[in-house]
Amino acid sequence: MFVAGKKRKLGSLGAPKAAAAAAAPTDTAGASPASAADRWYALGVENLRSKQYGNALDYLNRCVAAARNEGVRNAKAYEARALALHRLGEHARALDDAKSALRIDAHSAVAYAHMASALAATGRPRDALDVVDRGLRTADAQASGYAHLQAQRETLQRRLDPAYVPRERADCDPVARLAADVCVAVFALLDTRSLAACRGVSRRWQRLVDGTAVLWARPCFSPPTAVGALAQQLPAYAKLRRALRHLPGGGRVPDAALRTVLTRSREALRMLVIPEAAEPSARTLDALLACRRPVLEHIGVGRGARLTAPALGRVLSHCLAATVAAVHVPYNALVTDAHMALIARAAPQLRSLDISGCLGVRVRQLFRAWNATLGDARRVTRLERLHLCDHPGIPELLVYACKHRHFSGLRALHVAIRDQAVYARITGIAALTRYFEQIDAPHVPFPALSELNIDGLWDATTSAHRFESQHTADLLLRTRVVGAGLLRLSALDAGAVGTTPLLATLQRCFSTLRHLHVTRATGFSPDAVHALVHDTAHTQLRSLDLSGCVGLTAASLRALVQRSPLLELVNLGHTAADNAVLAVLAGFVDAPGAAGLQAVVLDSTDVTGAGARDFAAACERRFRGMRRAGGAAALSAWRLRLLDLDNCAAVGADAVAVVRDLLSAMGTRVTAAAPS
Amino acid sequence: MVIKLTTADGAVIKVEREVIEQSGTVRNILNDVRMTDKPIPLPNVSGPILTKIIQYCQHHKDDASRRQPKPPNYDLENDCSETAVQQAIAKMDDFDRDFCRVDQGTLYDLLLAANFLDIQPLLDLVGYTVASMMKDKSVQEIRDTFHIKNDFTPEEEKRVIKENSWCEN
Repeated sequence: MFVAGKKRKLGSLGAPKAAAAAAAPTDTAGASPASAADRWYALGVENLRSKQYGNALDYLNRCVAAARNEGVRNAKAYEARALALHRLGEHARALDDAKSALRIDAHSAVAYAHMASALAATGRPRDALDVVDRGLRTADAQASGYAHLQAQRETLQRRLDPAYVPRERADCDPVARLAADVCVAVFALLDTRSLAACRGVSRRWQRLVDGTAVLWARPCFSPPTAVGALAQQLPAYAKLRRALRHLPGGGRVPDAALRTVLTRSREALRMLVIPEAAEPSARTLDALLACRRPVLEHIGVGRGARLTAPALGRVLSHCLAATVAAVHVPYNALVTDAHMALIARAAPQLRSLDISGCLGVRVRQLFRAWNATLGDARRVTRLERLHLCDHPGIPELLVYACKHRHFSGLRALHVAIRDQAVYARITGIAALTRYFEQIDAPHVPFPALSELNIDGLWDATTSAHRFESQHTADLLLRTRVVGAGLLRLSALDAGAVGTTPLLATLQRCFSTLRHLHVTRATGFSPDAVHALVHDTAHTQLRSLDLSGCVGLTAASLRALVQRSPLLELVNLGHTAADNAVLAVLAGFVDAPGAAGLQAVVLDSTDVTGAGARDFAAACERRFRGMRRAGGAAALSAWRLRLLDLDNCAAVGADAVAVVRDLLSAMGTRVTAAAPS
Repeated sequence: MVIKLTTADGAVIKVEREVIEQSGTVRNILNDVRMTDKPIPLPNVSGPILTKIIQYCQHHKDDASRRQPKPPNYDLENDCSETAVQQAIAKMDDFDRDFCRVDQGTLYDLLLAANFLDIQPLLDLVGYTVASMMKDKSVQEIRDTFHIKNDFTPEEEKRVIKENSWCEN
C-alpha cells in the first residue's frame, strides 16, 4: 500500500528505474564480471523491479560498500540506491545519493532525475526544476533517462504554474528554438505591421524584434492585408479604397510610432519613409538627423506629410547619398528645381523618382538638372521609374524625351491626371507639337518602357479642355511612347478618347500586355475589340479592367475574355457583360492548371442569378478539390477573393444566398446590393 | 560519384555528389579535402532531417536557376516585403508545398539544417513558410499558432498594445 501510494504521488519514476536496469549489464560488463559490487547491484536492481524496495536497499548498500572496497567509482549504484531510498520515503538520503552519483558522472540524466524527484518530494519544486533544467542542458539527449527528465520538467512546470504550456508545444516557439541569425532571417521577410504584431507576442519576441536594427531597416507603412493589395491591383474599383479608408485611425501613423521605428533601426536604416499625412515632430526629425549619416536606399515623403521647407531641405541634404535608389516626394509643394538639381548630383544610382503633383518642379529644369550632371544630351541616367502625375509639364516630358536621351532607360512611366484643375494648366500643346516636328530624327523616347499609366490623360470633363486633351492623345501617339513590349497599360477615365487613337495605341502593345485597364472609354467599340483579337489565339492578360466602357457588346467582351485564360483580376462593371462572359470565367476556374481568378467585378451588368450560381459552384468545386488534394490550402491555396454583383437586376436575393453559401468556405468578399 | 555523410545520430547516409553539392558547406568540404571515400561528418543534422533535405536536393538538382544568386529587387514600387512572401509562395511547386507540410518542429530543424548546410533556396522556402504563419496575424493568432504563453505583465502588455495601436488590422 505504501509503495502504491508513493507511486501515485510521484507519478513517473518508472522510466529511470527501467533505464538503470537496462543500462546495468552493459556498464558492468566492462569491469571485471565477477566483482562483488556487480553481483550486489544485479540483485538490487532485480528487487527494485519487483518493488521489494527494502531488500533492494539492503543489496545496494552492500553494493556501494563493495564498490568502495574495490576502489571502483560506480555512479549506477548510487543512482539505484537513490531510487530505492526515494521509494521508501527517505528523500534526504536519496538526495545525497543522487549528488554522489552526479559527482562521479556529471552527465547522468538518471541522477539528475532522482535528485529532482527528491527535491520535489521535500517541497522544493523550484529547486527541482532548476536541477531538471541543468540536467537537460548537460546530459546527452540520447542517453537513457533524458526523455524522463523532459516529462519530469513538464510535471514540475504544471505544478508551479497551472497555466503552463506543455513542453512539446513550448518547443514550437521559433524564437526559442532557432538560432538568432536564422530567426532574424525569418522575421526579415515580414512587413512592418506584421513585425509590430510579433513584438507584442512575448518578452522573448519583443527583445529580439526590438533589439535587431536590421529588421526595421525598411519600414513600410502602407495599408495592411489583402484588401490593400487588391485595392492596389484594381485602382478603378473605388469601393475597396473606401473600405480602406474606414480602417481604425484611417491608416495614419502617429508620430511616436515613426520615431520609435527610426530609433530602433538607427544606422541600419535603409528606407526613410515619412508616411502619408504624418506630422513628424521636431523630436522625430532630430532622431533621424542625429544618427550618423544613414546609408539610405529610399527616401519617401508621403502625400500630405507636414514638413516645413527647411526640414525638407535638411532631410534631403542629410540623407541623399550615392546609395539612394529612390526618391518619392509626391504632391509636395515645397519641392523645387533646386532639389532636382541636388538629387541629380548626389544620387547617381537613382532608379525611381516620384515627383507627381510637385508643381514647383519644371520639366525643362528636370532635363537641365541631369544634363548638368551628365554633361551630354546623349547620356542616359539609371532612372527606371518616373512618376509625374498631375503635372502640367507632361506633354513637355514626352516631347523633350524624343530629343534628349537622359530618361530613355525608363521602364515605368506614370503620367496620370487625376486632378481636373491640372488640365487648365496644360497649355501650349500646339507650340510643343510644332517643336516636335522640328526635331531632327526624333527617337523613340522610352524604348524599354513596360509600364505606362495615362489615367485621365485622354480625357477632360469640360469641353474647354477637351481640345487640348485630344492633342495630348495625339502627342502620345506621335511621340511613340507606346510600343511593343509594354506589359501594363493603365488608362482609367479614358472618357472621350476617339476610337482611332485608342485602337492605334492598343494595337502597338496588345500582344504583350498583361494588365489592361481602360475604363469609361466611350470610344472603345466592338469593332476595336474585333480588330485587336481577331488574329490572336491567346492574350497574355492577367488583369483586365474595362469597367464603364459602355460601347462594348457582350459578344465582344466574351471574345476578349475567351482568349485570355491567364486572367486573375477582372473588372467589367457597368458594361454589357452577361452570363456568357461569366461562363467563360467559370471554365477557366475549372480548367486544370488554371492560374486562378482572384477577383471578379460585375456590378451593374446583365449577369443573372443562375450564371452567378454556376460560377460560384465552379469556384467551390476547385477549392474543395484543392483541399482534398492535401492541405496546401494552409499555405498558398487559390481562392476567389472578391465577387461583386452589386446592382445586377437579374440576380435575386435567393441566388445571392446560394452564392454566399458556396463561397463562404474560402472567405470570398461577396457584395450584391440590390439595385436602388 | 557517391558521397557518404555522417549525421548527428551516427547514421551514415550515401548520396550522389551532384545532388548534395547544392549545399555550400558540403561543396566547400569536398573542394578542400578531396578525400571523398571518408564520410563527411554533419554534427548538426539528424538522420531524418538529412534524408528529407536530400529529397529536396534530388528534386531540384536540375533547376540551375535556383542556384543562381537572386537578382536584387529593383521593383521599388512594391516597397513591402509582403509581395516578396507572396511571390515566393507563388513560385513554389507541388513538391515544395508538400515538402513544407510538416510540423513546426521539423520546419525549424529544416531551417537550422539548411542554414548549417548553406542551401539558400531551401532556407528561403522554409523561411517563407514560417514567415507566412506570422504574416498579417494578430498578436493572439501568432501566440495560438506557435503555442506561446503571454508572459507580459498587465502593465507591459498595455504599453505594447498602445505602441502597436497604429497597425492593428
